Amino acid sequence: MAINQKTLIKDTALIAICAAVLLAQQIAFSFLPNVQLTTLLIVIYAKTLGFKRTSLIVIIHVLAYNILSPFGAVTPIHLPSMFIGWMIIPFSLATFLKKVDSPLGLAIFGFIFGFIYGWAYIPAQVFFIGSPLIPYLMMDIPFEIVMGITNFLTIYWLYPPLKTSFAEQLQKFEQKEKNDGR
Amino acid sequence: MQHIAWLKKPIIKFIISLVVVLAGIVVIRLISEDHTAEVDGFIHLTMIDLEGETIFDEDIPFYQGDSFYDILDQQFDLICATATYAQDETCSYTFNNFAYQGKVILGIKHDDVEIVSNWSNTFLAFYTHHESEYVLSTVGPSNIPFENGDRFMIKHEHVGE
Repeated sequence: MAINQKTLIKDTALIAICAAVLLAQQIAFSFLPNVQLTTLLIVIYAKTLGFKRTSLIVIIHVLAYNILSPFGAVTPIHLPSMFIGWMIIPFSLATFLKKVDSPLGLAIFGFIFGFIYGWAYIPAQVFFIGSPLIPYLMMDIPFEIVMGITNFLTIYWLYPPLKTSFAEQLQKFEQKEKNDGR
Repeated sequence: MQHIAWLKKPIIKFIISLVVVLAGIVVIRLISEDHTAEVDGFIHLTMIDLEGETIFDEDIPFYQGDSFYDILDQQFDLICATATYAQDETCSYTFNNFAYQGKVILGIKHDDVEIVSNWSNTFLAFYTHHESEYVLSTVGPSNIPFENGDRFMIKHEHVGE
Protein backbone atom coordinates (compact mmCIF):
# COMPACT_ATOMS: atom_id res chain seq x y z
CA MET A 1 0.00 0.00 0.00
CA ALA A 2 1.36 3.43 -0.87
CA ILE A 3 2.50 5.67 1.98
CA ASN A 4 -0.01 8.33 1.00
CA GLN A 5 -2.86 5.87 1.26
CA LYS A 6 -1.63 4.69 4.66
CA THR A 7 -1.40 8.28 5.84
CA LEU A 8 -4.90 8.93 4.58
CA ILE A 9 -6.31 5.91 6.41
CA LYS A 10 -4.48 6.83 9.61
CA ASP A 11 -5.66 10.42 9.34
CA THR A 12 -9.22 9.24 8.87
CA ALA A 13 -8.95 7.02 11.95
CA LEU A 14 -7.43 9.85 13.99
CA ILE A 15 -10.17 12.28 12.95
CA ALA A 16 -12.86 9.70 13.75
CA ILE A 17 -11.42 9.01 17.22
CA CYS A 18 -11.12 12.71 18.04
CA ALA A 19 -14.70 13.33 16.86
CA ALA A 20 -15.90 10.36 18.95
CA VAL A 21 -14.22 11.75 22.09
CA LEU A 22 -15.77 15.14 21.40
CA LEU A 23 -19.23 13.63 20.94
CA ALA A 24 -19.03 11.35 23.99
CA GLN A 25 -18.08 14.13 26.40
CA GLN A 26 -20.68 16.55 24.99
CA ILE A 27 -23.45 13.97 25.47
CA ALA A 28 -22.10 13.11 28.94
CA PHE A 29 -22.32 16.78 29.98
CA SER A 30 -25.63 17.48 28.22
CA PHE A 31 -27.59 17.56 31.47
CA LEU A 32 -25.62 20.66 32.53
CA PRO A 33 -26.49 23.53 30.16
CA ASN A 34 -23.40 25.01 28.52
CA VAL A 35 -21.01 23.03 30.74
CA GLN A 36 -18.74 20.97 28.47
CA LEU A 37 -15.18 20.21 27.46
CA THR A 38 -15.92 20.79 23.76
CA THR A 39 -14.17 24.17 23.60
CA LEU A 40 -11.07 22.82 25.37
CA LEU A 41 -10.87 19.79 23.07
CA ILE A 42 -11.36 21.82 19.87
CA VAL A 43 -8.65 24.24 21.05
CA ILE A 44 -6.28 21.30 21.64
CA TYR A 45 -7.17 19.73 18.28
CA ALA A 46 -6.69 23.08 16.50
CA LYS A 47 -3.30 23.62 18.16
CA THR A 48 -1.99 20.09 17.50
CA LEU A 49 -3.80 18.82 14.39
CA GLY A 50 -4.15 22.05 12.45
CA PHE A 51 -7.07 23.77 10.76
CA LYS A 52 -8.05 21.18 8.10
CA ARG A 53 -8.23 18.15 10.36
CA THR A 54 -9.97 20.11 13.15
CA SER A 55 -12.55 21.40 10.65
CA LEU A 56 -13.35 17.82 9.63
CA ILE A 57 -13.67 16.86 13.31
CA VAL A 58 -16.10 19.75 13.85
CA ILE A 59 -18.18 18.76 10.79
CA ILE A 60 -18.44 15.14 12.01
CA HIS A 61 -19.19 16.27 15.54
CA VAL A 62 -22.02 18.62 14.55
CA LEU A 63 -23.64 16.00 12.27
CA ALA A 64 -23.16 13.10 14.69
CA TYR A 65 -24.39 15.08 17.70
CA ASN A 66 -27.59 16.00 15.90
CA ILE A 67 -28.19 12.45 14.72
CA LEU A 68 -27.21 10.58 17.88
CA SER A 69 -27.95 12.90 20.79
CA PRO A 70 -30.37 11.20 23.22
CA PHE A 71 -31.68 14.66 24.07
CA GLY A 72 -32.88 15.22 20.50
CA ALA A 73 -31.46 17.01 17.52
CA VAL A 74 -31.38 20.75 17.25
CA THR A 75 -33.77 22.03 14.58
CA PRO A 76 -32.29 22.11 11.04
CA ILE A 77 -32.28 25.90 10.99
CA HIS A 78 -29.94 25.88 14.01
CA LEU A 79 -27.43 23.50 12.37
CA PRO A 80 -25.52 26.25 10.49
CA SER A 81 -25.35 28.29 13.72
CA MET A 82 -23.87 25.33 15.61
CA PHE A 83 -21.37 24.62 12.82
CA ILE A 84 -20.31 28.27 12.44
CA GLY A 85 -20.11 28.61 16.23
CA TRP A 86 -17.67 25.72 16.68
CA MET A 87 -15.71 26.60 13.52
CA ILE A 88 -14.82 29.98 15.03
CA ILE A 89 -12.27 28.20 17.25
CA PRO A 90 -10.08 26.54 14.58
CA PHE A 91 -10.49 29.58 12.31
CA SER A 92 -9.36 32.02 15.03
CA LEU A 93 -6.48 29.81 16.17
CA ALA A 94 -5.28 29.35 12.60
CA THR A 95 -5.37 33.05 11.77
CA PHE A 96 -5.25 36.07 14.10
CA LEU A 97 -4.68 34.02 17.28
CA LYS A 98 -2.09 31.72 15.71
CA LYS A 99 0.68 32.89 18.05
CA VAL A 100 -1.36 32.62 21.24
CA ASP A 101 -0.38 29.45 23.08
CA SER A 102 -0.33 30.38 26.76
CA PRO A 103 -3.05 28.84 28.97
CA LEU A 104 -4.15 32.29 30.19
CA GLY A 105 -4.35 33.75 26.68
CA LEU A 106 -6.35 30.78 25.40
CA ALA A 107 -8.53 30.80 28.53
CA ILE A 108 -9.43 34.45 27.90
CA PHE A 109 -10.23 33.52 24.28
CA GLY A 110 -12.40 30.66 25.62
CA PHE A 111 -14.27 33.05 27.91
CA ILE A 112 -15.01 35.47 25.05
CA PHE A 113 -15.91 32.55 22.79
CA GLY A 114 -18.66 31.57 25.27
CA PHE A 115 -20.48 34.78 24.30
CA ILE A 116 -19.70 34.57 20.57
CA TYR A 117 -21.03 31.00 20.43
CA GLY A 118 -24.31 32.20 21.94
CA TRP A 119 -24.55 35.07 19.45
CA ALA A 120 -24.07 32.63 16.53
CA TYR A 121 -27.62 31.40 17.21
CA ILE A 122 -29.17 34.90 17.07
CA PRO A 123 -29.87 35.04 13.28
CA ALA A 124 -31.73 31.71 13.27
CA GLN A 125 -33.54 32.49 16.52
CA VAL A 126 -34.64 35.99 15.53
CA PHE A 127 -35.26 35.66 11.76
CA PHE A 128 -36.62 32.09 11.58
CA ILE A 129 -38.08 31.31 15.01
CA GLY A 130 -39.29 34.88 15.50
CA SER A 131 -37.90 35.53 18.98
CA PRO A 132 -37.57 39.23 19.84
CA LEU A 133 -33.89 40.25 19.69
CA ILE A 134 -33.41 42.17 22.94
CA PRO A 135 -35.31 39.77 25.28
CA TYR A 136 -33.53 36.83 23.62
CA LEU A 137 -30.13 38.51 24.10
CA MET A 138 -30.91 39.23 27.75
CA MET A 139 -32.23 35.72 28.41
CA ASP A 140 -29.12 34.18 26.86
CA ILE A 141 -26.56 36.19 28.88
CA PRO A 142 -26.51 33.87 31.94
CA PHE A 143 -25.97 30.84 29.66
CA GLU A 144 -23.17 32.68 27.82
CA ILE A 145 -21.52 33.56 31.13
CA VAL A 146 -21.69 29.92 32.27
CA MET A 147 -20.16 28.76 28.99
CA GLY A 148 -17.50 31.47 29.20
CA ILE A 149 -16.54 30.52 32.77
CA THR A 150 -16.51 26.79 31.93
CA ASN A 151 -14.29 27.47 28.92
CA PHE A 152 -11.99 29.70 30.96
CA LEU A 153 -11.54 27.21 33.82
CA THR A 154 -11.15 24.09 31.68
CA ILE A 155 -8.64 25.71 29.30
CA TYR A 156 -6.72 27.47 32.07
CA TRP A 157 -6.31 24.32 34.17
CA LEU A 158 -6.45 21.44 31.69
CA TYR A 159 -4.95 22.80 28.45
CA PRO A 160 -1.25 22.41 29.39
CA PRO A 161 -1.36 18.76 30.61
CA LEU A 162 -3.85 17.60 27.96
CA LYS A 163 -2.00 19.29 25.12
CA THR A 164 1.31 17.76 26.24
CA SER A 165 -0.25 14.32 26.55
CA PHE A 166 -2.09 14.58 23.22
CA ALA A 167 1.02 15.89 21.43
CA GLU A 168 3.07 12.98 22.81
CA GLN A 169 0.53 10.44 21.60
CA LEU A 170 0.34 12.17 18.24
CA GLN A 171 4.12 12.12 17.93
CA LYS A 172 4.21 8.37 18.68
CA PHE A 173 1.41 7.82 16.16
CA GLU A 174 3.21 9.80 13.45
CA GLN A 175 6.59 8.20 14.30
CA LYS A 176 5.05 4.75 13.91
CA GLU A 177 3.63 5.89 10.60
CA LYS A 178 7.12 6.90 9.41
CA ASN A 179 8.62 3.61 10.63
CA ASP A 180 5.89 1.63 8.86
CA GLY A 181 6.67 3.53 5.69
CA ARG A 182 10.34 2.42 5.62
CA MET B 1 1.52 36.62 24.88
CA GLN B 2 4.58 36.89 27.09
CA HIS B 3 5.19 33.86 29.26
CA ILE B 4 5.08 35.05 32.87
CA ALA B 5 6.63 32.65 35.35
CA TRP B 6 4.55 33.62 38.36
CA LEU B 7 1.34 32.81 36.51
CA LYS B 8 2.31 29.17 36.64
CA LYS B 9 1.96 29.09 40.37
CA PRO B 10 -1.19 27.17 41.32
CA ILE B 11 -2.17 29.69 43.98
CA ILE B 12 -2.26 32.52 41.43
CA LYS B 13 -4.19 30.30 39.02
CA PHE B 14 -6.62 29.47 41.79
CA ILE B 15 -7.15 33.15 42.68
CA ILE B 16 -7.69 34.12 39.02
CA SER B 17 -10.17 31.24 38.62
CA LEU B 18 -12.01 32.23 41.80
CA VAL B 19 -12.27 35.86 40.67
CA VAL B 20 -13.70 34.79 37.28
CA VAL B 21 -16.29 32.49 38.91
CA LEU B 22 -17.34 35.08 41.51
CA ALA B 23 -17.59 37.85 38.90
CA GLY B 24 -19.79 35.57 36.78
CA ILE B 25 -22.09 34.77 39.72
CA VAL B 26 -22.40 38.47 40.62
CA VAL B 27 -23.26 39.47 37.03
CA ILE B 28 -25.85 36.67 36.70
CA ARG B 29 -27.41 37.77 40.03
CA LEU B 30 -27.50 41.40 38.89
CA ILE B 31 -29.24 40.71 35.59
CA SER B 32 -31.71 38.18 36.99
CA GLU B 33 -35.01 40.00 37.43
CA ASP B 34 -37.98 39.11 39.58
CA HIS B 35 -41.00 39.05 37.25
CA THR B 36 -43.84 39.47 39.71
CA ALA B 37 -46.58 42.11 39.66
CA GLU B 38 -45.88 45.33 41.56
CA VAL B 39 -49.54 46.42 41.45
CA ASP B 40 -52.94 44.86 40.70
CA GLY B 41 -54.11 44.78 37.09
CA PHE B 42 -55.34 42.77 34.11
CA ILE B 43 -53.77 40.88 31.24
CA HIS B 44 -55.54 39.71 28.11
CA LEU B 45 -55.18 36.00 27.41
CA THR B 46 -56.07 34.04 24.28
CA MET B 47 -55.91 30.26 24.21
CA ILE B 48 -55.98 28.25 21.00
CA ASP B 49 -56.41 24.47 20.70
CA LEU B 50 -54.74 22.02 18.31
CA GLU B 51 -57.39 22.63 15.64
CA GLY B 52 -56.74 26.37 15.73
CA GLU B 53 -60.03 27.16 17.50
CA THR B 54 -59.98 29.97 20.06
CA ILE B 55 -61.22 28.45 23.32
CA PHE B 56 -60.55 31.43 25.59
CA ASP B 57 -60.21 35.12 24.82
CA GLU B 58 -60.70 37.33 27.88
CA ASP B 59 -59.09 39.72 30.34
CA ILE B 60 -57.98 38.05 33.57
CA PRO B 61 -56.94 39.82 36.75
CA PHE B 62 -53.65 39.69 38.64
CA TYR B 63 -52.70 40.93 42.07
CA GLN B 64 -49.57 42.40 43.60
CA GLY B 65 -46.89 39.74 43.99
CA ASP B 66 -48.32 37.37 41.34
CA SER B 67 -46.11 35.72 38.76
CA PHE B 68 -47.50 34.83 35.32
CA TYR B 69 -47.88 31.25 36.55
CA ASP B 70 -49.86 32.50 39.59
CA ILE B 71 -52.30 34.33 37.28
CA LEU B 72 -52.98 31.12 35.35
CA ASP B 73 -53.17 29.06 38.53
CA GLN B 74 -55.84 31.37 40.01
CA GLN B 75 -57.94 31.30 36.84
CA PHE B 76 -57.60 27.72 35.56
CA ASP B 77 -57.05 24.11 36.62
CA LEU B 78 -53.45 23.47 35.64
CA ILE B 79 -51.58 20.28 34.95
CA CYS B 80 -47.84 20.66 35.57
CA ALA B 81 -44.83 18.48 34.86
CA THR B 82 -43.01 16.49 37.51
CA ALA B 83 -39.22 16.15 37.40
CA THR B 84 -39.67 13.32 34.87
CA TYR B 85 -42.30 15.27 32.88
CA ALA B 86 -45.18 13.10 34.07
CA GLN B 87 -48.51 14.91 34.49
CA ASP B 88 -49.25 16.27 37.97
CA GLU B 89 -52.56 18.00 38.70
CA THR B 90 -51.32 19.20 42.10
CA CYS B 91 -48.48 21.18 40.47
CA SER B 92 -46.34 20.49 43.51
CA TYR B 93 -43.05 20.14 41.66
CA THR B 94 -40.97 23.23 40.85
CA PHE B 95 -37.93 22.96 38.60
CA ASN B 96 -34.96 24.55 40.29
CA ASN B 97 -31.87 24.11 38.18
CA PHE B 98 -29.67 26.58 36.35
CA ALA B 99 -31.45 26.17 33.02
CA TYR B 100 -34.95 26.68 34.37
CA GLN B 101 -36.47 27.73 37.64
CA GLY B 102 -40.24 27.42 37.93
CA LYS B 103 -43.19 25.35 36.79
CA VAL B 104 -43.62 23.55 33.49
CA ILE B 105 -47.28 23.60 32.42
CA LEU B 106 -48.49 20.58 30.44
CA GLY B 107 -52.21 21.35 30.47
CA ILE B 108 -54.83 24.02 31.15
CA LYS B 109 -58.48 23.20 31.89
CA HIS B 110 -61.28 25.77 31.86
CA ASP B 111 -64.97 24.88 32.18
CA ASP B 112 -65.63 22.28 29.49
CA VAL B 113 -62.59 23.04 27.33
CA GLU B 114 -59.01 22.02 27.89
CA ILE B 115 -55.66 22.02 26.16
CA VAL B 116 -53.37 19.27 27.43
CA SER B 117 -49.99 18.43 25.94
CA ASN B 118 -48.86 14.80 25.80
CA TRP B 119 -45.26 16.17 25.87
CA SER B 120 -44.16 13.75 23.13
CA ASN B 121 -45.95 15.16 20.08
CA THR B 122 -47.58 18.34 21.32
CA PHE B 123 -46.73 21.19 23.66
CA LEU B 124 -48.14 24.45 24.97
CA ALA B 125 -46.44 27.39 23.27
CA PHE B 126 -46.52 30.67 25.22
CA TYR B 127 -46.57 33.82 23.12
CA THR B 128 -46.17 37.40 24.28
CA HIS B 129 -47.50 40.35 22.28
CA HIS B 130 -44.45 42.29 21.11
CA GLU B 131 -44.90 45.46 19.05
CA SER B 132 -47.66 44.37 16.62
CA GLU B 133 -47.41 40.57 16.71
CA TYR B 134 -47.26 37.55 18.96
CA VAL B 135 -43.75 36.15 19.47
CA LEU B 136 -42.65 33.02 21.31
CA SER B 137 -41.77 33.66 24.91
CA THR B 138 -38.08 33.17 25.65
CA VAL B 139 -38.78 32.07 29.24
CA GLY B 140 -41.17 29.67 30.97
CA PRO B 141 -44.50 30.60 32.61
CA SER B 142 -43.02 31.31 36.04
CA ASN B 143 -40.67 33.92 34.59
CA ILE B 144 -42.70 35.68 31.89
CA PRO B 145 -42.63 39.44 32.54
CA PHE B 146 -45.95 41.30 32.32
CA GLU B 147 -47.58 44.65 32.94
CA ASN B 148 -51.15 45.86 33.16
CA GLY B 149 -52.90 45.48 29.79
CA ASP B 150 -50.30 43.14 28.21
CA ARG B 151 -51.57 40.49 25.79
CA PHE B 152 -50.58 36.82 25.78
CA MET B 153 -51.47 33.75 23.76
CA ILE B 154 -51.16 30.10 24.74
CA LYS B 155 -51.33 27.77 21.78
CA HIS B 156 -51.49 23.98 21.77
CA GLU B 157 -49.07 23.00 18.98
CA HIS B 158 -47.62 19.95 17.33
CA VAL B 159 -43.85 19.55 17.76
CA GLY B 160 -42.04 20.82 14.67
CA GLU B 161 -44.99 22.96 13.54
